[in-house]
Parts: sequence; structure tokens; C-alpha cells
Amino acid sequence: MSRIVFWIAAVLSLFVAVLSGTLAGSVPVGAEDLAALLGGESGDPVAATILREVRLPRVARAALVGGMLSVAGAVFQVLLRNPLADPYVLGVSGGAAVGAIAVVLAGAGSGWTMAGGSLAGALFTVAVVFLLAGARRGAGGDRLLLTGVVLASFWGALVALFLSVSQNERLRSVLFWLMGDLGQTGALAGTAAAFVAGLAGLLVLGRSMDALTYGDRHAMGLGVAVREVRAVLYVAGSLLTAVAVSAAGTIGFVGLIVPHAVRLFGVRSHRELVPASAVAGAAFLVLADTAARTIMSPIELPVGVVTAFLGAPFFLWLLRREKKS
Amino acid sequence: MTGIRSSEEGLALRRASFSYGPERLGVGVRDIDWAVPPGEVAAVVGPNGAGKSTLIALASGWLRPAEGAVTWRGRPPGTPSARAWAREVAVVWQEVPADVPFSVRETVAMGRLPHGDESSPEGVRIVEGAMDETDIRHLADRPVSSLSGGERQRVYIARALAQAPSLLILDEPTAHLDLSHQAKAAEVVRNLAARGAAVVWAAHDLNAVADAADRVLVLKDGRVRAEGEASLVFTEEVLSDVYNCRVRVFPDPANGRPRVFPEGVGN
Repeated sequence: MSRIVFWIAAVLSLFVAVLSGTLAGSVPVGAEDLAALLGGESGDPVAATILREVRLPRVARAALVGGMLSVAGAVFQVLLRNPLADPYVLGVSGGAAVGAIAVVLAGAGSGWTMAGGSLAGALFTVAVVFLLAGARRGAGGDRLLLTGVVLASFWGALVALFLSVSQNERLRSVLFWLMGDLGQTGALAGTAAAFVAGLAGLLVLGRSMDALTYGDRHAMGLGVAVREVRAVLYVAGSLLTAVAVSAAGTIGFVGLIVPHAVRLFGVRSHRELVPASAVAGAAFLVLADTAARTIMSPIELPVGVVTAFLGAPFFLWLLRREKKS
Repeated sequence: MTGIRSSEEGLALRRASFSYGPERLGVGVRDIDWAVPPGEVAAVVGPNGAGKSTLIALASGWLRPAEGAVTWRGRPPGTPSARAWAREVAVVWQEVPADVPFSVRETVAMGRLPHGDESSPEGVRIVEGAMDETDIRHLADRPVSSLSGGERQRVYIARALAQAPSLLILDEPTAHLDLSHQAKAAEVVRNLAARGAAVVWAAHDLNAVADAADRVLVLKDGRVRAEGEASLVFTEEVLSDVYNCRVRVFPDPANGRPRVFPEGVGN
């Protein structure tokens, strides 16, 4: 398939996703209301308020988080040389969540400190995965993945412990956040800045990531500064995951589904895979969130439920396919 | 005087040592003194666990010597930058990964990565030439994951050739190859040396080494057991000691080169 067709389709699907995510919901809003708001005209004031205060921020949050998780997934797949790697499966999201909750428990739960706690948890998790699996010099990707999976369930247990012993009222709302909550308020500027910074850094490293898919020795032979590039990938993947988690909780499997879906369209070089995953991931999570809000309307499902219902079977399908080849 | 000159022009190991530490299984190397000048094919032989792969890792810059020094044209590996190093030094590793998402052509084109010209006409021409030399042109658009072991090995040899190296390092590059492609690989290596490159070639096939190598380094237990031209180094005494079995060596009636045979049960 031609690259141009793919990119038109990707951008078009993001546009459709944003449009449907903006218009769908328990209170119907028409396209003319959106047009009026965007055109600066005075339309229905209720619709304008819903769009400005609820729908548009939510869609923007979903798009940013979806893009970040997808790119993080692509990064971890290179870092571990394993196509099944994903920030959620590896426990990086769980580590970020524990970090954020620990900050809330300590009574210092503002947006920035929570993001800091998330980042610490994410970096710590990846470091532990590599140290425990003994990956200083290219240990098997399966072992790394398994270590991450075990760590993920440990983080889950820790969260359950926090939730059951804590009397902190704020922590109760954490339960919903943990399943993925895109309905939060709060500024998105920091999230957007982290996304742009991470993406920009990774775009430069596209070819180095390609070389790393052959393994560290091969990448070194091709002139990649392996240690430095791996360090940047490690920090970028952890940062993207941490910021996504502090913006919207732990939403699973996005980083697994999206890069693979993009690869199915013949995108292989990371120069293209990374930006394509960002666009497709944004579209995917906006659509998943729209589904979560409307399937059982007026009940709103956590978006993590929707992505897990799609992602878990997808993971198993991939595992089966990997075994065969 | 010539020793100093050649060590500044070519690859030089001076009292290079490396050990993996007590917990790692793997033989290190000890006090390796060796120089490979430009234009020569230098083979490294020895039994399993003699330190061949460690020597390759040191020469390529994958491992740093714990003691001593490794230099290429007077500079240590990875200098002045990883990329500049890879413009001069290419490696064919023993492992030939299959689980990569790229096609044969895309893989060979990565050899131009350090040069940054993979999409230029010159880069494309070099990549096609490397595929022709290794007889993989007909596989160009196949995914690497669909190839046999021998075909993959040729792909990774082609990628190293596409780097247009002045030092080519190969770790058992013919292990998966059939007879005709083994001969072709040896010819490719000789051609590269004839164009002025230094070649380091770790090998098990002593007869192929006797044909293609200008000099041989024989390793035993991580140390140099013998060094020099194959006709001088491949003696029954040295090889029987190194391989720990009775080895017979005959001169080839056609060209006088040593032919090596292990003495089997029937002999």
C-alpha cells in the first residue's frame, strides 16, 4: 500500500474520531453547535458550554494519552526486542500509578507532584525489569517481559493494599482513575509539552531504533551509540508512560494494539512507525473513550475496560502468531 | 620499525586481556599480541571455547579490554564516534537474527546508515552491488524472517559489505553456508582484502582458512598458541595439541597448501 494512502487514512481516522468523540454523549450536541463554537458565533449556549468545558478537553486528553501510550509501546518493543512489550503489560503503568498514589497518600497530591511520583515509579519499574532479568548485555526479551508481568501484578497488589487500609477519601476516587479516567479536569499544557518533547526526541532516533531491532551488537556495528540511545529510549518511554498515567490513570494495551495495527499497514521503519503510532493511537483512544461513554449510556464505563476487552485477546493472538513464526 | 608502522595502519592488539568474571560461562583471552595490516586476511582459529568470539568482540569494540589495548589505525574502537567507527569497521556477527521486521534490501541498506546515504544513487548502487556479491539479489524484497539460516547469513555479510569497510570482522561467517556459498564467501573476503581492507575472520574450517587467509592466529585456552602463515602454523604437532585429538596434515598436491584431517575411528 502506498505510504500516502496510509497517512491520509490515519489522519482521516483521527479527524472522524475527534468529531464523533465531540458530538456523541448522553447530551446530544449537533455538528452545527460545534461549527458555531469553532466559528466564534453565538449558538446554543448549553451546547457551547458542554463542548468547551467537557467534550473538547476530554477528546484532547484522550488523543494525547492515546498517542503517548502508543509511542511508549513502540519504544518498549525496541528496548526489549519483544513485540509483546507494552507499558501496561510491563508494569510500567502500574509503577507509575503506585508512584502517584504514594504522593497522594503523603498528602502532596497536586498535578505536578503526582506526575513526578508517576515518573519515579515508571523509571523504577523499567530499571528493576532490566536489573532483575540481567539484561546488561542483551538478555532474552521473554525473560524481560516475564519480569515485567510479575512486577505488574505486584504493583496491582500494592494498590489493592493501599486502597483497603487507607481512610484517605481522595484515594477512593483513585479506584476509578486506575481503570482509566479521561474525565479529569486540570490543565493539559504540561501533558502536551511532554508529548511533543518525547516525540521530537524519538523522531531523531528513528533509524537507530531500526538498527536496534537486530540486537545491540548489530546496532553497535552499524554505528549506533547503543548505550546512549538505549538510555534515551528508556527515559522517553518511561516519561511518556508516566505523564499519560498521571493524566488519565492506567489504560492498558494501547501501546500493544496500536503499533502492531500500524505495522499491519506495512509501516516498518521507526522513522514512520513512531509518528504513525502517535496519530493512530490518538484516534484509537478517542474512539475507545467515545465507546466507553455511549455503549451503556448513561452509565459511563472506564475506558481501560474497553481497551482491555480489545487488548487482551489481541495480546493472545499475537503470542500465538509469534510462537508459530 | 615495520611492527610500529603496521600497528598504526591496521588493527593492533597489544597485551589485550579480557575475562568474563567467575559467574559467567565464557572464556576470556589473555595477553593477546597481534597485528593485522591492511590488505591481509587474518584468520582466528581454535577449538570451541578457545576465545575466538571474545577476540572478535574486542576487535569490534563490543567489549573493552580489561588490560592492554586494541586499536585500529592507532585509535581505540568507537572513536572518534560510534558512527565514524562504523564507517570504517563492519562486523558479521555469529548470530543472524530472523525476528526483524525488515526486508532483505532494507537490511542490507542499513549498511549505509553510518554513511548517511542510503537513499542517494551512490548508496543504492553500493547496496545492489553488495547483494550481487553475496548472491541474494533475487531475495531482495523477501522479509528477512522468511529466509533460511544460510540465506540470512549472506544477508548479514552483504550488509557488512555495504558498509564499505576498511576493516571487516567476521565471526564464523560460513557456519550456515553450503559448499558453493562457502567458496563464494571466501572469494568475497579475498576481493575485499585485494582492494586494501584488513579482514579478521574467526573460523572453524581449517582447510578454508589455509586457502583464503594470509596469516592465522591459533588460540588455545584464551592464549596465542601459534601465529603466522597457515603453511607454517598448521602442523600436526600444533593442531593435535590445540584440538586435543590426533590431527593429520598433508600438503595439497595441487598447490602445496596444508590439508587438515582429524584422525577418526577408522584410520
